Amino acid sequence: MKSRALPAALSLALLLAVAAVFVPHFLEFDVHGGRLHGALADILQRGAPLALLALGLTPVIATGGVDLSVGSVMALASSCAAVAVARGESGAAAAAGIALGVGLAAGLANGLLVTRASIQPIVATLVLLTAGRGLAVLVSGGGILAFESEGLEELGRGAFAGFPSAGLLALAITIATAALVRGTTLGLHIEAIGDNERAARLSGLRVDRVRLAAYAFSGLCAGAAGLLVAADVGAADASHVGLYQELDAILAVVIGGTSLAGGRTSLAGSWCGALAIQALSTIFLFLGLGTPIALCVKAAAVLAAVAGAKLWTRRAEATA
Amino acid sequence: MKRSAPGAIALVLLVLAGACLHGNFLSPRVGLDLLSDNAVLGVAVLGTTCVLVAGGLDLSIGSLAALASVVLARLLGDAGVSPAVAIPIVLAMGALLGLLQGAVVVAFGLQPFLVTLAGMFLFRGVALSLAQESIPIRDPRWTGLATASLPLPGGHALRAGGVVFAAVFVLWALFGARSRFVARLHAVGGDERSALLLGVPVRTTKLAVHALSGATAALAGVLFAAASSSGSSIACSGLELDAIAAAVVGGVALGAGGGTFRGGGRGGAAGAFLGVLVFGVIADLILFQGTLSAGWTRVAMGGMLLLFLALHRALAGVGSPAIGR
Repeated sequence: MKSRALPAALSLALLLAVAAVFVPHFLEFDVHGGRLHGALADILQRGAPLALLALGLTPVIATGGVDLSVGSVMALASSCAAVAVARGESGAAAAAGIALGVGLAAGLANGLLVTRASIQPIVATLVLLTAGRGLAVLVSGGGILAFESEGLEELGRGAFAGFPSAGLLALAITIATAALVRGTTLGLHIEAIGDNERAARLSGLRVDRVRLAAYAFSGLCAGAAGLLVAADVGAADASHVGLYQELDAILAVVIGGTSLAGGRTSLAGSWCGALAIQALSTIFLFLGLGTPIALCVKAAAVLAAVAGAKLWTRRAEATA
Repeated sequence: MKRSAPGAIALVLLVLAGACLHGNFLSPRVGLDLLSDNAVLGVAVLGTTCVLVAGGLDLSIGSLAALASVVLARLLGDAGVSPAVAIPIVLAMGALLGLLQGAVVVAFGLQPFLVTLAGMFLFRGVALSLAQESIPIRDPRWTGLATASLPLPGGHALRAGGVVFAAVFVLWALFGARSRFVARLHAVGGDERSALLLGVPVRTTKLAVHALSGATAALAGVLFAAASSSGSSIACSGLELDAIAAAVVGGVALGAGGGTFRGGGRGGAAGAFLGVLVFGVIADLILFQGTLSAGWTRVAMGGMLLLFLALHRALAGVGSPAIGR
């Protein structure tokens, strides 16, 4: 079980080690405004929304499903929160509540489509992928909606003990979720459903309830990710927030050692996967290399991760 | 009941609604423009549908279309190649890149989702490295082709993109839809193991369907270049997901059995073409309304998708438990 997160953790460590050797000033950091600044802090901070998305997607994928709507839900949640704050009717806490509520509602809608209406997950969540961004544009009125809120700024750009608070928050939520999932029978139920839904159903697991909860959690995480992005930038951009993030998040989950065929899962691995993807972007930013090369390297990383995962499982099966 | 029936009914209802709301909605010109304006998606959806029916997935088509448009612009502009040579080269490139992805899927037994995700990043990256900004195409022979239109009785004309969309649709209906290839796609998508045991060349079929998807994506890129007179590395983003949505509206089933992205085996390209037209009519309706923002198009598309899932579910009845589960 512990070995599942290992390839992702090693990849992240390797990536950072290579960067530390070859990228000038990569490990340097300085402190101003009571917060660490530097490449590593940047990865922790900017990787937080993706880490949250990947965290939410992990149980969904582990139960043999998928949630394609997370990027659009992010946009919708950030737009709703931004509108609430910009109108001056609500404070930071209310805005956070709105973003999380929107995410939870979207996740429940996805979950009900999958469990009650028995619609294939990739299609069911395609509905909100399409409509969610449209709703976000309608809510925010099109363009970029800027707002000012000290509370949200503290959440998005603040620091806790010197470390970026958004990054720490994502890490803390990941650890709490992992403790909940591994400390109770929930993790076993999730993997049993992903491994063989029929067998799980026949053994008396409440399959639909677990799956509904997984989608609801995914929506909630997408809402939180949307909130973090809006808080970081101080604005909501309905057309661009979270665009294609669902694919990056799925990628992070796969790099993290969760199988797309369902049944194997690692929350810690997903967090490492998300940070590894962010680390790639940050490294390219540091090197001053453009998007074209970054995209090509990302393609190579996908193939390497997939091939690596394949070899890893094959070896694990051979030794088992 | 045929799986494409809900799509056809909805198309008729939407057009009737348009005719009631706006007097000139039923004019031939609106209908002809519907074909031309949706040609890029209409061509791409053919390959996507075939991949989905075979139980696969191709996320790379948007990036591949962009790459094709950029390569075409470079060939016509910098290299001075004639369109008669450049277009086949670009289509062959698309087919080859699709084939390569298929080969990776087949040879290593990897998930098409992840392999084509890598393709999606790679093709967009290569397109961007060829051209960061959009390249205008000034070749007079190309402009002649792109602005050509098919004269129709009554003084109307169908633009080049619409001609290609209609031709692909008709050719597929005549020769493709009932071919042995499509029967094999259904066999592979329905139950890969049974297909293998029955002697269906599963690997060859998978390779061929990825090549087809690559070729139609490249053709979509060529049509984009024709419509915009340029090659652009940021063109057609999101094309892959729109194509999947159109296919679903057209009655293509995704996924049978467990796992995240498995299955298929039901539905066909004719339904998917209807799906494209349904989305096109929705966009037209919102355009005709004039006061609605672009956000409504996406919301209406999502709503349509939901409606169709419900319809297919209702029509599938008790016998076959619905959207491939």
